[in-house]
Amino acid sequence: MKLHHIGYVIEHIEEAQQNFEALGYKVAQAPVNDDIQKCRIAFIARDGEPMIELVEPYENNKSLRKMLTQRGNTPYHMCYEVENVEALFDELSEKEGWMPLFRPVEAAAFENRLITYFYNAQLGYVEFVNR
Amino acid sequence: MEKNQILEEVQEIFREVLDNEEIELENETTADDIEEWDSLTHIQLIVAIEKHFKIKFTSKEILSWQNVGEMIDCIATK
Repeated sequence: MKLHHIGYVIEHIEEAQQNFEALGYKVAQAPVNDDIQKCRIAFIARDGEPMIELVEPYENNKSLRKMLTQRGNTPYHMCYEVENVEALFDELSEKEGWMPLFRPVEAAAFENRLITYFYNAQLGYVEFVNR
Repeated sequence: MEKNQILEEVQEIFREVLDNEEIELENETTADDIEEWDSLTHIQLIVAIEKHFKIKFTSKEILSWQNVGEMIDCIATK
């Protein structure tokens, strides 16, 4: 398992990208529409480091729009790349303190690799993506 | 606790967490019926419900609910 990216919820991907350039980040993946997650998603990166995912929620994505209103652009989840998301989902579902948001689904931003999300009171939102 | 009472209290929690005083819950209510209820707010609802009723749900229970009624049934067993 390795840290794949830190997810930021942001108002405008292109505007955020321009500002991250001042910190040395370059575009790693151009924006993709994910209709299941109801977001527009892009990735930026610096050499040798986990990426940053820029998550621009659709207007009808009420929960992320609310998070943006309350907190502004902000990091809100960590994502780990794993060998088998479905096996990890079963394992964490049995552990106390880990609440699944949904069963593994294909994600457009990851070439349809499977992802899943959990909530842990100590860690916040944690995403897992299949290698 | 009576299931009707549980439903009333859960409805209050929904209204507070989802910031919508117009939410009316029935046993058949699902996330498709409430615009603000998605996977992210679902967890916020569960955390609030657990805190209010002083109970803990298992992941299996959380994933098993098809509607509010099944959530209420689960709370009633705790």
